[in-house]
Amino acid sequence: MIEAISLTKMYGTKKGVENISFKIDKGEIVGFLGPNGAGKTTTMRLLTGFLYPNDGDAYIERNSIIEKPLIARKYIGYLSENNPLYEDLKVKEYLDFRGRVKGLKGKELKNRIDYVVEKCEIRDVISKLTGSCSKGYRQRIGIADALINDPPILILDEPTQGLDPAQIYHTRELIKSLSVEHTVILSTHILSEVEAICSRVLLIQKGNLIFDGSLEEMKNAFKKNQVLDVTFLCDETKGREILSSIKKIDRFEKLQNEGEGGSSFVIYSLEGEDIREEIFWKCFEERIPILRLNEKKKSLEEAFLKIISEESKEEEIQ
Amino acid sequence: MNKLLAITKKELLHYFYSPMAYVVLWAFLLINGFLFYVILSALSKTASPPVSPLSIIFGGSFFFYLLTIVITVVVTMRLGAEERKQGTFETLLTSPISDFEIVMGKFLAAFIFYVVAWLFTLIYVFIVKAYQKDLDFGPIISSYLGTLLLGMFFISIGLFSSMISKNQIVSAVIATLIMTMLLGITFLEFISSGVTREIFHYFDILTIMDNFSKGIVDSRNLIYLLSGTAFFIALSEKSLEARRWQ
Amino acid sequence: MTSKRKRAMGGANWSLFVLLLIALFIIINYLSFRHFKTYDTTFSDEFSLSPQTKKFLKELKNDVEVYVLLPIGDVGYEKVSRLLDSFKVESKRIKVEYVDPERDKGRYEILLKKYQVTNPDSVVFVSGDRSRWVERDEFLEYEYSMFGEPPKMKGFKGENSFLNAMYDVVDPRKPVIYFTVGHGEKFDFDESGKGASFFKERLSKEGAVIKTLQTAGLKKVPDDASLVIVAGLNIPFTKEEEGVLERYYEEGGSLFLLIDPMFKEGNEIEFKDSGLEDLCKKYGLELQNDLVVDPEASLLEGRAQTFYGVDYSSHKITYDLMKNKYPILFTLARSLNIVDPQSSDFKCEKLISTSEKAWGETNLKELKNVKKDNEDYAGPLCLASLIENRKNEKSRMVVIGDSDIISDGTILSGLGGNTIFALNVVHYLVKMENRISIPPKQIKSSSIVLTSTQIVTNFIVVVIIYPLIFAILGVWVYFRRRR
Repeated sequence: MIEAISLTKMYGTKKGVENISFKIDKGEIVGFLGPNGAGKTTTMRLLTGFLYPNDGDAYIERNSIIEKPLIARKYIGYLSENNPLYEDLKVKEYLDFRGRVKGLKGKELKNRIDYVVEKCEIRDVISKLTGSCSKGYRQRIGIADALINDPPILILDEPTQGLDPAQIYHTRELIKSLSVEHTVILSTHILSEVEAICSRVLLIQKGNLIFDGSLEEMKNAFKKNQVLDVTFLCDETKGREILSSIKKIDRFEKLQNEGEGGSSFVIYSLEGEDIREEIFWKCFEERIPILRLNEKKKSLEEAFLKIISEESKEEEIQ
Repeated sequence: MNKLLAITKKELLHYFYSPMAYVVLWAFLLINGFLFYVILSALSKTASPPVSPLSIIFGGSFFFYLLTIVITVVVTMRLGAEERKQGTFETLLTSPISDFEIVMGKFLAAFIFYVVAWLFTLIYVFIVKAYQKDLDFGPIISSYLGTLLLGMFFISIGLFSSMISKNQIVSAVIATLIMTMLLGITFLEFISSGVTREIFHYFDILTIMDNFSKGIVDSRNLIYLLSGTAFFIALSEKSLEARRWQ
Repeated sequence: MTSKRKRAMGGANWSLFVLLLIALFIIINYLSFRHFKTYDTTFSDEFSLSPQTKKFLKELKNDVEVYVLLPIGDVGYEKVSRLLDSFKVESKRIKVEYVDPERDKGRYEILLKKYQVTNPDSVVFVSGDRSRWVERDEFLEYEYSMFGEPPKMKGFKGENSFLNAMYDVVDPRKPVIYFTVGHGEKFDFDESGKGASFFKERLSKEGAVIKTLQTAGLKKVPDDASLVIVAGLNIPFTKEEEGVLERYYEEGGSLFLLIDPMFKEGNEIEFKDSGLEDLCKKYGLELQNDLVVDPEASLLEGRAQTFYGVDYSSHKITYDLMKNKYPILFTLARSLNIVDPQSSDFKCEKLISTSEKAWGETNLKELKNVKKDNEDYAGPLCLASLIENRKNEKSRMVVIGDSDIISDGTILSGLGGNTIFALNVVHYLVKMENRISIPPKQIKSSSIVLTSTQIVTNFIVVVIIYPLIFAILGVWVYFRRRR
């Protein structure tokens, strides 16, 4: 079980992540979704204790990552973003080293190495230098390392980045099979990956957690309601009168006027309704000019759109 | 302890799987061997100075310090800098191993390499013993002790430099600077007098090595070298923790 | 919360941590600077203090300030500072200050004036209002070469000279030593000191007051006498004179007898008595009329009457000499025979003996061609002996069958063992055992001599082949890994 309590990390004066809180239960597969540079990696580094937060704390199986780092880290298998390996060691030497560092020894270590080698299908490269392995193998070696001490939690940072479609498919299958026995947290900037594997999404943008829920809930959230930003050339009372008469409006708020005269409002529609046309006709009837009418995009959607566009760009490249 | 030794083993694999270790050993033994040969032939002439050939190899010449600096810098410069450059600090620091174990594991590996290099110089002792029947082993034992303690101190300096450096070159430069400054205390001692001089004398590595090579084991020398080692090891450990807070 | 505290500690205060660490480092090293110990790993204990120096320092009751007025880089500087360091290990009362005559001119001048030092390169010892300075020649021995090269440092006798200086300043007791006169003694111990001037000078330097004692008609040895020395007599003692010495000894006095074999005037082929035979016999010692010859320990081929003492007892008088293998030179000596004393209150102890090959020649007629025969005394022969009085511990006596051990000629040709031995005996007899001398430390030189073939072989093995092994090993490993 993982619990993050208002994690905040500053890089000097630059914000890394801010006030991130969530709770992940045993057996979940959670996807950290967000555009590049949103703070996914920072969050993962805070969870694994590679970085310590400026504020807040993370608990792994009830152990604070700052106060009891050694116990907390024991529960985590971590595949970091670029999956660095010691290039001049052979794969078996590398896994042996990693196993020992994680406290395994003797027969147990040997068994675990055998297990992860089978599980991650890296038997073929076992005697090669890690530096001479292909990208796909390297990624699997990294996952084998994360698995070696059989931790209950796997944290995988961009596990499919830079792989070709076949390798992506294999890696996803591997992760899915691991999720039977492990709680998995993976980060990605690819929506389809979340769709393919995850049961839950944490959406991060500009260092903030802006959505936490299932994939379905996230998709629905985009369709919910319309938010408009309007300015009428009339006084406030008149404006309120007009808006109150429209039934499809859920609620509205007065905005500070920005020097252009008239009165501005932010308007929230009822679920699934488009109210732009109705506002136009109503004003037309009342002979009140509309100075401005903008549809306001919500940050969630913005993030979502950004992800979609990045994804399509990447596909174009491929 | 097992985790610490795992780090040590990994670093030793790095050393002995790369050609660099052998280049270092080759150069080390070449220079020391040449030095030994020069001393032997000089002592064979009449009117030789009253010194033991081995005391010159241990701290009695400029080459000793050059070799000690070079070998300790070379074995330590990649310990932290390379992990940082390759990004492997991320896997290491997120493993269930303490910062102290990481630092000590690396320290131990560098020290083992250093000890191995000096063990190969035992051949000189056997050669001298073959020619000089009444050889006094006391100063030889204390010379090796002093050399190992100085090595520990310099390795801790190199390790710290490597921990705070982005690449091996920077690490080597920082370490060499610190070591040269410590050796420079000899000069400060030379130009000062009174109590200041006594303080510099205490920290003077040339005097310390001279003591060891003559067969004197002085608690002050031991404590300076050991506390210096502990000082830089503590700094190295702290620098790892500081990485997480930055 | 701990994580809060840890955050405060870890995040911001890395400089505080460094400061604390530096403080700890300074404290540890300050303590180490103040309280230290040194261990000497040489098998010859090259850097260890002798037991009496240690004892003196441990029992020191007053502070002793030491001013080292030597330029840094002086030949003796390092040795002196190392020695004073080991003094400091033994006693907290030793305070050392180094004053460089060049750099600390002001302080140097003040100290010179204050302690009336006349030699520029000296070490000054001060305790209370007493001071004593030791000049460089007193703690260094040089070897002068013929070819105008600078003198080499041969030996270091700082431990002894510094110890004596410290005795002078903390314990200024001056023993009075009487030399008997009126028996045709070889040496003059009045103003001139003829024949034994080096020995006399050393005694004065050690703080002794030297007087002569005319024994003819003497009723009693003066009360201020700490020791009476009979050395190199030619005219025998009378019964009365012998009785005066006997009484003096048994009432707690100290006697040092150096009695050569004595020959009848005119025909030097017959021995004569010294008049002290009965005295010695009473305490269990027989003065034998012979000439000791030791071909095995002789200094020069064919002159076996001049030889080194071979076997030293472990008594404190000879202990350090034995340990340092310091030779004592005898010439024209007689042997001593230990017999049963007249009273069991006395006990005779051997100090120095000859080798087994030595013998005591009794036939003076054939000195041109000496050889061992049945009439001669067989070796090993006792040359020096110590007599203890169990009834009165203050009574002390040492008898040596040769007076030449203190003569200028022997001291000049020997290697310094004679002076040390004689001084040790005197210090023992005047009950100042803790001032027993320590032989100087020889500066060892290497004894490696290689032929040119050996040098070339060494070059090939050590410089070429040996390092090359590692180069080849490296290449092999590299290719094996790449495969």
